Amino acid sequence: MGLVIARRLAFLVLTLVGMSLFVFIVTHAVPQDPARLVAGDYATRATLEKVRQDLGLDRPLWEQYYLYMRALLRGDLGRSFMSNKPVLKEILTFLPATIELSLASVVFSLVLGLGLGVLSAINRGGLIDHASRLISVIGAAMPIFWYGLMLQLIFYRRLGWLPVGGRLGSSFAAPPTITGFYTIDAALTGQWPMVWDAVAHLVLPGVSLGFLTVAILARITRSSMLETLNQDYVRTARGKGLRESRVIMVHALRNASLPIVTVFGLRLGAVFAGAVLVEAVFAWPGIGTYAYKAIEFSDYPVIISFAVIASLLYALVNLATDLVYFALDPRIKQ
Amino acid sequence: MRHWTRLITLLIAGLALAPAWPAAVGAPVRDTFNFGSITKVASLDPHRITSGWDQYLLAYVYDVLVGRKKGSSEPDPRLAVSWRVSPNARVYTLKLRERVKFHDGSDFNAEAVRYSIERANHFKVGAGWVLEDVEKFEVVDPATVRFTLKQPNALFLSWLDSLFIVSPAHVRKNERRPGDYAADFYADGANGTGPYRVTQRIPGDKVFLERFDGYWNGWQPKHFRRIVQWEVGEATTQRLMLERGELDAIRLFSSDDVRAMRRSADLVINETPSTNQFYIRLNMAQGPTTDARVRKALAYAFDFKLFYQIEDQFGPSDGPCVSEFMDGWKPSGLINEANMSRAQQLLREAGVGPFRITFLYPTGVEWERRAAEIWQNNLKQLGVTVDIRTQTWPTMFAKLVAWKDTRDTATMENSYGQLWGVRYADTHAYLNFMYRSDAIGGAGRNMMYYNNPEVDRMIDQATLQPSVKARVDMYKRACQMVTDEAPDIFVGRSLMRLPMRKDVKGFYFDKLDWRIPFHQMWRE
Repeated sequence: MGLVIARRLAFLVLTLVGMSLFVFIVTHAVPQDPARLVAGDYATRATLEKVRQDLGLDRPLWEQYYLYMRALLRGDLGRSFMSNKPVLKEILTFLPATIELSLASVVFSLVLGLGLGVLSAINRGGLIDHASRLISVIGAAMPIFWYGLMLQLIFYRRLGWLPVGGRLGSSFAAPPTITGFYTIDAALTGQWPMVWDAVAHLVLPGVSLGFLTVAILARITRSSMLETLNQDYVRTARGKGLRESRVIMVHALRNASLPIVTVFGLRLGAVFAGAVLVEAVFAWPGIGTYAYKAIEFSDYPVIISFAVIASLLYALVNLATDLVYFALDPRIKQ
Repeated sequence: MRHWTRLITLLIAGLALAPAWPAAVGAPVRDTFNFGSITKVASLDPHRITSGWDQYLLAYVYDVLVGRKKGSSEPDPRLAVSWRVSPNARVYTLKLRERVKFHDGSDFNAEAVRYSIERANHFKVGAGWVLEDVEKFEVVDPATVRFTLKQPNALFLSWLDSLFIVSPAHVRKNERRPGDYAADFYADGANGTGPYRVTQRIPGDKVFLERFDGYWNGWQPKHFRRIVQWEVGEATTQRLMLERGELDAIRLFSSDDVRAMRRSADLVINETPSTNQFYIRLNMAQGPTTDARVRKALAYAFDFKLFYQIEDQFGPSDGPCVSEFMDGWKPSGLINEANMSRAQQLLREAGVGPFRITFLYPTGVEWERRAAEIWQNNLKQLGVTVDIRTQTWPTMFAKLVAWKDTRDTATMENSYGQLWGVRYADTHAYLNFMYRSDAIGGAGRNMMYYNNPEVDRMIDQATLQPSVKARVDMYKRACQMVTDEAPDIFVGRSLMRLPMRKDVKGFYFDKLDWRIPFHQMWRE
């Protein structure tokens, strides 16, 4: 297995280099002038030229790419054209917000998706089964931002149960940065009202982001469980007099989990993509919004760094998914 | 089995029915004003910002030497209490206000002005343009400074409204390396002499301002103590938050949302004509629009009335420049009503048959798209086909600028949409930026290549006139010339709109920009 991981990591490096080159070429191919956006509307030609030099935009493309990659190897992702702040520092500011949101949606989608799928399989043809399949169809059909807006309208505007907009209400300043996750940082500093406020702000965007995954997971869990529940070893387990919960959770679900893990692993990458839309709807200050503004502003260092980091995260998630396979099914390890 | 099913069902129900959180959503805090902005704050650095929206926020954290009287272009004392201008408008001597403190307690004086100029010149971007014409700066004494300009410029005082003053001691204290002017610190932090100080900036989320009790202009107890600017990029979300009371005001650009909000008993829509005007700019360098008769025909084909009905944030245009800066004057012969028969006649006189033109607008600016569709519909009747295209603004801008060098027919755009407002309160801001011949190619917005040496001469002459009347007379002649040549369709003048909760009092529009006078507002 060590060899497998080493091979995957080596391939990852090639992927990252290829991704950075591709994004570099595409961003520079689009006719834009970031120097003008940095200098401002009233800048003279002399100022514009100075800004181009300061940003390195007057150099040949191959030299710009070489300098960027050389700095990247030292862990320097450059400076944002927009804010003039180190890109790495900004990514470390925005990324935890997206991870926190994604984790919330993952927890929601795992519990609801697996639960619905298991219940559907157990009560095949019953009310829960029909309800679950209806939820799956709706979940797969409607766009993410539509969920977001509907949830805002119902739970925020009409009922006033849950907040929207940002990670905290305006009566709280941000907690001291320890992990970057407001829920954890607030808990670690003992600010319990802030913890509840942060959790409350996570609910609606987390549900919006996770709903499609619920739909997919419920379906795949149901079909995988139905197949497994008909197996001989399940019949044997029941015949031995084991508790039904043990039969379902240990014997059936575990063996049904491989396709579920596959789909879930693929969905994790899509969750990051979906986060961009949810962040826009809920004013969530995450990496998606940050990257979107960078693209609009032709902020090359941010765009390339974001592409590299997103690829890295996606590759690591895939690797983690494969490792979970090994843990679930020893036969795969061999 | 049933027990197990029940357990899972309960868990799912618990999760699916989100908890009735006692979140007290939308309860306003009396002394806090929550403002929703669709735009993201790029930086808090007073000498690096290029966005007008960021400038409006920082206008309450930092001060300038000379501002403007409310709603007028007349200079108003701020950190400078009085000034003398030499007869040739080259030398400006300013007397500074005394006993003014920065938020960190350091003193405001001539050295702070000198250092702010040095810092702005170091970065050159943002407000650096204000200092381009400065030949020499002198500290006469701790309370007096003098600017000597390279050439006469009667507008210099109005330009100083864009130059924020910082504390040298605070900058030096926060430098990471000597001479970096604390660029990193000031991206997220601030230290000015304004009524509010920045207590925290959460990038991409909020900026928190707290009242500065040592503000030189004093405070009334009832005014807002705390300001929170929220960055909420989605218009619908902003609107819901305003209706719920979590936001007290929002900046909105959708007529549909405004129509819906007018029905709310808790909201008021503050409105006033702004100095922003929307132009459809026509290519003067190549293609069918090089003929003035064709340009006028295209203008007569625009259904202005229908556009104002659909996009009610627009009203009739004043032409190349706004009338507020011109003693209420508007040019004669301004085309602001559709006249299809006149359009047809002009095209016949020009001897052009059916032809095709392109129109480019920035992605996301829906009212420009609607304007283009209205125009396209009428032009069809005249045998003119309009290809409507959209690109993001940076791409569009770069493409239009690059065409200056190639003049390639294949990549030529015949027209594009331009909304233009001003950074300083003078007609010069329109003429110099939109019609001056060397504002072609990016150093301005003259991206359809209008070129009239006589207009250039009048713009230059106007800046030499210390007398406002003499300046305005020149501007009138220049504006009339531009109107006669019809390089643009002067589509409309936009309203400034600020939907606000009814319990917020003290708001007024300074129609020359979008500043919200936080420190003069309160909640009833």
